[in-house]
Amino acid sequence: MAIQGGWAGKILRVNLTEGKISHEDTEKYKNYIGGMGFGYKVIWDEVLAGTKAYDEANKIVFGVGPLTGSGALCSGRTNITSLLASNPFHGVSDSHMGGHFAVELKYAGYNGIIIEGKSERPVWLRIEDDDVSIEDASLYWGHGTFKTITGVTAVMGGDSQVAAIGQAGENMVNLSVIRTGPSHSAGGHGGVMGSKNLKAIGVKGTGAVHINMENMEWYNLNKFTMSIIGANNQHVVPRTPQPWAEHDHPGSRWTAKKDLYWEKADPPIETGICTPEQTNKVGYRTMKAMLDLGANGPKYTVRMGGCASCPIRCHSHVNVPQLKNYGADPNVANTCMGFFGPFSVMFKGVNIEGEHKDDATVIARALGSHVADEYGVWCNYGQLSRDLKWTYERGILRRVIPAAEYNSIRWDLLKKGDPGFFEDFYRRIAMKEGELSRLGEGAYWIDRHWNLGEEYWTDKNNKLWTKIGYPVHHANESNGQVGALISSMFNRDAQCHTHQNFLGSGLPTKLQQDVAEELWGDRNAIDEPANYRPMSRGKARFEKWSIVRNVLHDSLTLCNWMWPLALSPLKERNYRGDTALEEKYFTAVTGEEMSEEELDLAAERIFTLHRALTVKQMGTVNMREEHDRLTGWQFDMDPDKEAFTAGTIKLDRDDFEKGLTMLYEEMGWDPQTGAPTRETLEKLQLKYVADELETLDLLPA
Amino acid sequence: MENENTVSALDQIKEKSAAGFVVHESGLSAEITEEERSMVGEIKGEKGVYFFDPNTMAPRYASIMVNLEEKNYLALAAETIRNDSRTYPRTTPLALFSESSFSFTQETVEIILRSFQDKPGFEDIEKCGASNGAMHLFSKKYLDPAQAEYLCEWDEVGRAENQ
Ligand code: SF4
Repeated sequence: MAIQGGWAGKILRVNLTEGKISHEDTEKYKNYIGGMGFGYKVIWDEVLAGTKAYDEANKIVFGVGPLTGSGALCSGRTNITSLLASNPFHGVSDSHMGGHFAVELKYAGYNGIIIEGKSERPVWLRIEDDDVSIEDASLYWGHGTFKTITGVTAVMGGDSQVAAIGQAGENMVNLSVIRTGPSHSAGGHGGVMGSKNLKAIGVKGTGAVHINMENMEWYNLNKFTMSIIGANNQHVVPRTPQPWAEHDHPGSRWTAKKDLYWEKADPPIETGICTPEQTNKVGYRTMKAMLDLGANGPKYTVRMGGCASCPIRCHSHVNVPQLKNYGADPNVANTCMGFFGPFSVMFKGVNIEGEHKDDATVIARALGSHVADEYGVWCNYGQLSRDLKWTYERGILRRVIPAAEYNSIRWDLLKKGDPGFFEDFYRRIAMKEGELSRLGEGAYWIDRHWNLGEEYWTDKNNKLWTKIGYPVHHANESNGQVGALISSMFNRDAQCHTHQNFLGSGLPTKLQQDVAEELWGDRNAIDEPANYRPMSRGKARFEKWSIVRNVLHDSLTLCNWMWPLALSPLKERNYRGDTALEEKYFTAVTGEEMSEEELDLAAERIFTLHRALTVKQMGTVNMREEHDRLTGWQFDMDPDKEAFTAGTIKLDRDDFEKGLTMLYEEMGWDPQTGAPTRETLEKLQLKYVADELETLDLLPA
Repeated sequence: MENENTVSALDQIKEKSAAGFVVHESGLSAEITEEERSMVGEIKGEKGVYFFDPNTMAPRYASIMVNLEEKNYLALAAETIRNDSRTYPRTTPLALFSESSFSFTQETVEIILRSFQDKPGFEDIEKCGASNGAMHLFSKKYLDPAQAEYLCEWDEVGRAENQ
């Protein structure tokens, strides 16, 4: 079928070795929806197994999807796919960024950019609709992301969008980001851009994304969506008791309440009580600064910001004048781990003379975020700071770092709680200064270099999930085996929020179980928190659904920190949302009829291609033993407690094996090895993948 | 004959509920009709009947308001703790009672804590603590103490570290 609405029609290919720019038709990739799906297809077709992340032969794909820029709710995200250097076998992986880069790319007429080869000198890519050129970046090379984005924006105009790397990316630090806008970072692939001498991409588009639906119908679809949307993470109850709410939960991001202000706005803005019916106040529901920056966050908050087409606005924009004392801009924006990751580098606490401890927390979180973003360093979901703490406290850094270097590190600032330490630490990481900078290579590699021993992996407090070298990210604390198995399937920390949003909605467990029965035919898919039962078929279905929807969102592209809207704040709907909404938007925008099941099947194809890519890159079918193995603390924690008793999130070894088997079965993979079978690959229209794996002897027996 | 300017009982209840309050029967300046009564929610307290508009106020919140009106702080705290433990399940941060809508004074909080220990009828209510020093409460009738301990720590420390 010819391209109709939604897709922009073409993909941009840029060969930096030859300086060649070309376009190609999107039709070839349509079976893979967009975003993440485009990325895997390109890597499968064009990057040979065994290629390393920083090899010239590696490619990096910036993918957007049919819904990006359509105006569908939270449809402003960019999916970046490439090989990941922090991963031991350089497995395929994704990083994502929000902001407005993605929609601008669509307006310029592109569904994606494939970057290949390597430039001889530093360059940046200029995209203005069909006018695309490779520009000299010597002016920006050696500078941080803020200066680079400002510089490229000055050239292209205020209506452009820019994605850039900092010094960390230039120096091929494994833990580096690609950043856009004031607060949006994609962690993991900055070094791939750096390896290609590509400093930035600027994009400006004058086109539009066409929608195949009558205006009134489109209006009504959006109106309905706004009626069932919650707060950030699709939390559907308020954080505190409020007149309108039957339920509330202290973990909810629906923070709006009386007397809670954006205090630095001029004039200050009260978030107030926001009922579900007040859809014009959705942007006030989540006052993220009180979560990101602590008790005094509101005092410094100017506003909340976020991505294109998102009414939620989960990024805190703060003004912290004290940052001038550290030579930093007082205006900082970020969200979640963007604040927490850098802050936890100050593992001995923060203590600033003359400042109350709550103000000191705001200063340190804002400054850490700013410094890490400027250099473009990624926190590996908090692991970088844990690695610093772990190796420092055990005297490992003193052992492995030459004395002169060790003595030059500003440990005095760390010990005093002075956030001036950030600058010293992040500069060393980003500039690859000395032995300390190995921390920027990621967990697997520092163990290889420093021989940290088994305890490094099995220490519960170090939170490493598998030996691939990434940490917990909504794992066994999220419904036991459900989060645990989801976390074992990717080549980095699982960036899957589907299950987490559902479980964190704030609704009672029993109500969640009723919905589980409707969605997955088994109320046993959900347990009370920290009171888990053994593995069940319902849990396996919940896991598969969570992964499939996550992959679908990163392909369409929709924000998985909000979607799917399985639950809603509406009592009159008995808190049900609508799991068919993605399909409704897909059909509305593209004009192509696709059922909810067909769309899920397309996402299943994409995730199975991810698995096949991993099999091919690792050169083994034995995913169970070689890829999905946990580090061990998950089974040995809480020695005084048995798994499946109240008060522990401990897993059981046999049960976990059973869980793997059940998930493999749900995915149609080989139940022994966890590798995709020919039958499943063919069912998913991936026969060419099966054929290639067969020639490599990588199909399960 | 009713004064034309008198606001109906139903409208008074609606207005108060929209502002977040329940109305004691004695606070109505017009008599409530049977028809109006069928359209509103009511709670019988120790000091009479209270009305609220179920379209803008949830029964649970109305119950909180009635307890506050009647200064039944101890009963309200116990009901809140038991409801949290039974329904979600979760522990209840002690700090919740100092925030709106409760807004208990420090003195009231201390009296409540002592009463939970000393008075009969509250044997199910227990304390637990998190590593950041925060205290939570739970009902062991509905929540296992070990689970309560985990949930308390998660609420105070774990959740923020797992965004
Ligand atoms: S919820 Fe946050 S991350 Fe997601 S689209 Fe909205 S602003 Fe962006």
